Amino acid sequence: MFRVISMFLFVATAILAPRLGAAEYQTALGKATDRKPVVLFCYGANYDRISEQLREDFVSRRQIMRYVRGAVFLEVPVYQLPNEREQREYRKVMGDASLPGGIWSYPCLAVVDGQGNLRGVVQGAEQMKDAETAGTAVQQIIEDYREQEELLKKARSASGPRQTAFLAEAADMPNVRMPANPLGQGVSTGLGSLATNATGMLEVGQKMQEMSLDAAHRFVRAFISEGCYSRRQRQEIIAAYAGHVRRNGGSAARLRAIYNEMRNIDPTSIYGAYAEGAIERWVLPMEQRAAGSQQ
Amino acid sequence: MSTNLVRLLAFVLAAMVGGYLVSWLYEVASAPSGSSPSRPVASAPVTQTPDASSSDSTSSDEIDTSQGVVIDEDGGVSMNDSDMVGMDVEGEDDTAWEGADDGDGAIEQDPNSYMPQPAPPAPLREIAEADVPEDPAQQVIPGVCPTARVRSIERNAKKLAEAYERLEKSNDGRTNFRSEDYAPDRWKQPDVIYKELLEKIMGKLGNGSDEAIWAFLAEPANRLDLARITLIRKIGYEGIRRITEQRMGSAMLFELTSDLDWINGVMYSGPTDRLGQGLIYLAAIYSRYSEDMQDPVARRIAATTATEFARERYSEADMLARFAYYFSSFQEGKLNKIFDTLQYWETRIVTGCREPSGWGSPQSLAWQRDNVRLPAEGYLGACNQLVYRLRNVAGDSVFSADYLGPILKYTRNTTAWAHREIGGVCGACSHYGAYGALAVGIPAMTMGEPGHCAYTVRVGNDWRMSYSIYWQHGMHKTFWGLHDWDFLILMQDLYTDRHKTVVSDQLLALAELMASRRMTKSALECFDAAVISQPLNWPAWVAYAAYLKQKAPENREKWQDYHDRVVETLAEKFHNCAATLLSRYVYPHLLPLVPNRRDRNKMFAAFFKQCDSYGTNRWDIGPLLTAHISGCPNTEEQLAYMKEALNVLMDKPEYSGAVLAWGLDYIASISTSTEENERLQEEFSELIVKTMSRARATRSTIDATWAALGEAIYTSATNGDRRTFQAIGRLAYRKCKKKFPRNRFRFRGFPGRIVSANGLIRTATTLSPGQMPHCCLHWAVLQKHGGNIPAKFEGNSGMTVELEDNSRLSGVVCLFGENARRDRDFKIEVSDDGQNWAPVRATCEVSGAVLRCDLRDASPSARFVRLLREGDKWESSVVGFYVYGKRLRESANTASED
Repeated sequence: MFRVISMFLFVATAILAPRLGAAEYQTALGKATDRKPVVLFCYGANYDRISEQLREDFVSRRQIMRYVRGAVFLEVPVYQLPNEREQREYRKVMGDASLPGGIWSYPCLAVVDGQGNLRGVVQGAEQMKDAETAGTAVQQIIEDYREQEELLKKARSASGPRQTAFLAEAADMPNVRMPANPLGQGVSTGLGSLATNATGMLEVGQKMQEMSLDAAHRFVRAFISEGCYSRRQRQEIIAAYAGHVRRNGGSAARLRAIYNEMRNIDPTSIYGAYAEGAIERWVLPMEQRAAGSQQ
Repeated sequence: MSTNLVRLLAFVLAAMVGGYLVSWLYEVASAPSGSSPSRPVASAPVTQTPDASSSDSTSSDEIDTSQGVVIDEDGGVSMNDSDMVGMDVEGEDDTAWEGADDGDGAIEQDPNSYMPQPAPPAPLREIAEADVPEDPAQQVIPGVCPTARVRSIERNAKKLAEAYERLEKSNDGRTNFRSEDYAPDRWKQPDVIYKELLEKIMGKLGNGSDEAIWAFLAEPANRLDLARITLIRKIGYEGIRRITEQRMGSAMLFELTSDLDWINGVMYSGPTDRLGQGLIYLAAIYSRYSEDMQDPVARRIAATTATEFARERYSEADMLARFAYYFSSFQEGKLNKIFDTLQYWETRIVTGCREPSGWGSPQSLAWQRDNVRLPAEGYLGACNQLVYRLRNVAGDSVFSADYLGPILKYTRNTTAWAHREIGGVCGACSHYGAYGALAVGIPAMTMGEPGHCAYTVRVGNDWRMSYSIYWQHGMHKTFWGLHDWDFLILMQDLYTDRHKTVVSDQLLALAELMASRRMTKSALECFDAAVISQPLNWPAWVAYAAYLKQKAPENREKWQDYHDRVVETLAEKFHNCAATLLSRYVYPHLLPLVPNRRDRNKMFAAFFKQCDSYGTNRWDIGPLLTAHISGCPNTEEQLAYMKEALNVLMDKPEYSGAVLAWGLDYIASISTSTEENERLQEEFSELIVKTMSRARATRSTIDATWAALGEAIYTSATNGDRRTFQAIGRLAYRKCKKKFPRNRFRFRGFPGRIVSANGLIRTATTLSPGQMPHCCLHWAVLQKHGGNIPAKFEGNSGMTVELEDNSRLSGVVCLFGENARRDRDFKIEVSDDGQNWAPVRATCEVSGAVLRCDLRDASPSARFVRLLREGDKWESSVVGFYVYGKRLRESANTASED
C-alpha cells in the first residue's frame, strides 16, 4: 500500500512540476518552433461581453481549435482593475512576462514566436466577428509565419544582396510581421533596421526634400533598382518623392505616373489606397484645370 | 510508523526533484535552437496594457486593408460595402465622407491652442423675487451659524443621505418612486402647475425651520414636487410651453416629472444651463424611442446626451446621432461593463463628449469601439497606437489638410482610423487615447497643457493622466467652466458622495425657492445648510455668495463666516478651488470690510495653514496672493503683507518657488513712473532677496531650495530683471555650490574683458517641469565654471544676453554641450534697448563644441547681444556664453584719465 501511494505521489508530482515551476506562457514559448508558433487567445475577462461571448464560442465550444492545429494554444485572461484572485489567475498564465507589443484590442488571437515576438494578430470586430472568420485569418497567419521563417532562415545563411532580397521577400509576406531582430541579436542590415523602424524611412524621405527634383528622381530610381527593399518601403520612398514633386510644381502627368507606380506596387495596401486618394485629391483637379484652360 | 513516514517524505521529496529535473530536461530539449530557456522577460503589471509603443512601420501593415478594397480594371482602388462592418450606427450615411470637406475637419490643432484660457469669473446671478408681501420676521440677516446648528445639519444630512442610499439599495440602485400627478395635457399650463406645487410645498415647509425642512425632504413625494418646481423655475413658463409644442413633448414631460429617479438625474447631476433646450432635445429622442424609454439606462443615456448637447450648443442632428450610437452600443453589449453602473453625472462626461463631427462622430467612436477594446487602464497607453509624426511619409505637415487628405476616402472619413494609418502628434495621440475610452463608455477627456495636448482616463474612481508633460492642465470638459485639475477631482469627490450631494442640492433648491418668495432669513439659513451638508458643492457656494451679495453685501459677520467655512472645509483638500472661490467672490466684498491689517493677515494665514502641499495638483497661487495684496490699502500694508506671505510660504517647500516667482512678477508689474513706486519696487526686491537668503540649504532641503531659487531666477529672467537674476544666481552659488558644474573650458577668447558675467541670459524655449528646477544653471552659463541652458533658435529668438552696461564688443564665444554642426549659419545682432535690433558684421566659426564670432571688424557698442541661427530649431544646450569687450563707462573713465 505504501509503495502504491508513493508511486502515485511520484507520478503526480512529476506531472505537476512543470506547471508549478513556470508560467503557462513561458512553457508555451518553450514549445514553440519555427513551424509551430504560439497562438494566444487574449480576452477581457471581467469587463467585456464580446470577449465573454467569443470565449464561450472559441474555447468552451472549441470552435477555434481546428484552425490552430499545429500551434501551441493558450488562453490569456486580461482583467480590468483585477482583484487578488484575478491577479493570481493572470500570473498563473503570464508569470512576470508582458504580452507582446502590438496588440491593440481584446479579444484577439495573437501569433507569437518562441522569442515572444508578435508575428501576427487577428483583432478588431471585423476580423473577430466569429470563429470561422477569425480562425481562417489565424490559420493564414500560421501558414505565412512558417513560410516567413523559411525565408529568414535562408537570409541568415546568405549574405550581401541575396540576404537583403530574402529579407525583403520575408517583409512582403502579407499577414505576418517581421521579428524585432530578423538576423539575430545585434545583427542588422540597412533593410533589417529600416524594416522595423518607422522613422528610418521618414528620415530617408526628409533627406530627399532638400534635393532638386532631378536629384530626387535619381535618388529614388537608385533606391528602387537596388531591388532589396520591401513593397512598403518602396511605396514610402515614392510617397516622399511624390510629395516633393507636388510641393515644387511638378506637372500633373509626372505626378500621375509617380502615384500610379506607388499604387501598383501593392494596390491593396494602405499606401496603395493613399496613392489612389492622392490622384483624386491633387492630380485630377490639375488635369481638369489644364483641360479647362485649353478649351 | 515514524520510519515509514520519514521514508514517505523522502520519497516525495525525491519525486519532486525528479519531476523538476524531467521538466527542465523537457524544456531544454524542446527549446528552439538559438534560444535560451532562461531568456529574461520584462516584468509587467498584472493587467497588461497592450504595449503599442513599438508601433513600427510594419505594424500598420497588419490592418487588413484587403477587406473592402477592390482593384479597378485600370489598377485603381475603390471601396465596397464591407468597410462598414462593425459600424452599425443608425442613420449613418454611406456617402457621409463625400459631402465633407477634404479632411480639413481632421487637421491637427496648433498645440498652443489646446490650453484653455482661464475663464473670467462668472457674474453672480441675482435671484428674482416674486411680487409677494414681505414678512418682517423674514427680513433679517441671521447671524453666524451656531456650532450646535452646524452639528445638527451635518447629522440630519447624513441621516437623510443614508436613507436615500438604503432606499436605492433595496430597489436595484433606484428609488423607483413614481407619482403621476400631472397628466401630459396639464403641462401646457405650467403656471397652474407651478402655483399648485408652490402652495403644496410652502404649506409643508411652514416657517422654514430646520425641522420642517428635514421632515419635508424625508418624503419622496415632496422631493419629487421640489424637483418639479425647480424644473419649472429654471426653464420658465415659456420654456415649458415650447417643450409641450414638440412632438410628444408633453408626454415626455409627464414621464420625466412622474419618475423621481429620472428627474433627479436631470436636475441634480451637474449644471442645468440651457435646460429648456436640453428638454427639447430630450423630447426629440423621446418621440423616436418612446418604447425604449421605459428602460432606466435608455433614460440615462437620453437625458445626459440631451442636456450636454444643449449645454455645449451642438445641433439636434448630432445629438440624435450620439444618442443612437451609445444606445445601440449598449443594447448590443459592446460597451465596457463600467458603463452599466455609471451615474448620471458620469454618463454626461461620456455621452456628452465633445467634437461631435470629428473624434466624437459616430463613425469614429464606432471604429474605436470595435478596434480599440481594452480594460480601462489600457487606454492610458492607447495613445501609443499612433505613430508620432509631425510630417507624414510624403512630407506633409500634420497641421495641413494634406496630412490625412489622401487617406480619408479609404478610411471613410473616420478620424481615429485615418490617424492610426498615418500618425499624428500630441493632439491626435491624446484624442485617440481619450476617445478610445469614451467610445466604450469609460469617462475620459483630453486636456491642454502649455504647447501640448494630454488626456486623462478614469480608472475606478481615480482620474489618471496620460501623455502629460507639464503640471498645468486645462480640462477640455468641465461642469462649471473652470478648467484646472483641482475642479475635476472636486467634481469626482462631490458626486462620489452623491447621496449627500443630492441632499445639498435639494437644500439649495429650497434656498432659491425661498429667496424667490422674499423669505430672506430662511433662504440664508437654507444656503448655510446646503454648504454645511456638502462642503464640496461648488454650485451651492457660488449661489450662496450671489445671494449674500444681493442681500447682505456689507455684512462682515456673514462674509467672514462664509470665508471661514470655505477655509475650514473646502480648502482642506481643494486648495485651488477654495482660492478661486475666495479670490473671485469673497475678497472683493470682505476685504474692504476688514480695516485692521492684523485681522486680514490672520484670515490669510488661516488659508495658508491648510496648504502644506499642493493638494490634488500643483496650482498657481499667484492670483490668490494678488487678491490678498490688492486688498491692502497702502504701500506700507502691501509690504507688510508681502513679508507675512513670504514668511509663511517660504517654509512650505512646494510653494516657495511659486511665491518667489509671484513676488518678482508683482514687482515687475508695478509702474515705475513715480518715485514712490520705485522705492516700493526697491524695497520689495530687497525683501525677496533677504527672504531667499534665509532659506536653508541643508542636505535634506537642498533640492527644495535649488528648485525654489530656480523658479525665481527664471521669473526674473522672464521679467528682464537683471539685478535680481544676478542676486539669485550668486545666492544659489553660495547655498548650493555642489549643484554647479566645475568646468575648465579651454578656448581662444577675444581682446578685452568678459562683459557678460554680470548680465542676464534668456533662452527662446518654454521650459518643461523637469528643466525648471535647474534654472540657476542659466546664470552659471555666464560664469567661468559654466552651466547649462536649453538652446532653441527660431526666427528672431535665440540666446539673448543683457549686459550690465553699454559696452564696445570685440567678440562672442558660445560653448555648446556637444559638437555643433559646422554648416550652421550663426549670426549676431545687437541692440541698445532690447527692442530694436541691428545685425552686426561678424565672422562666426564652429570648431567642435565652440562657436566663435569675431566682432572686431564692426566693433559695435551695445547693451544687448543675441545669437540667432536659421534652420532647425534645436541645438544642443549651451554650457558657456561669453561676450568680450570693454564697458563704455570704463572706456570713458580711462579716456578722461588719459
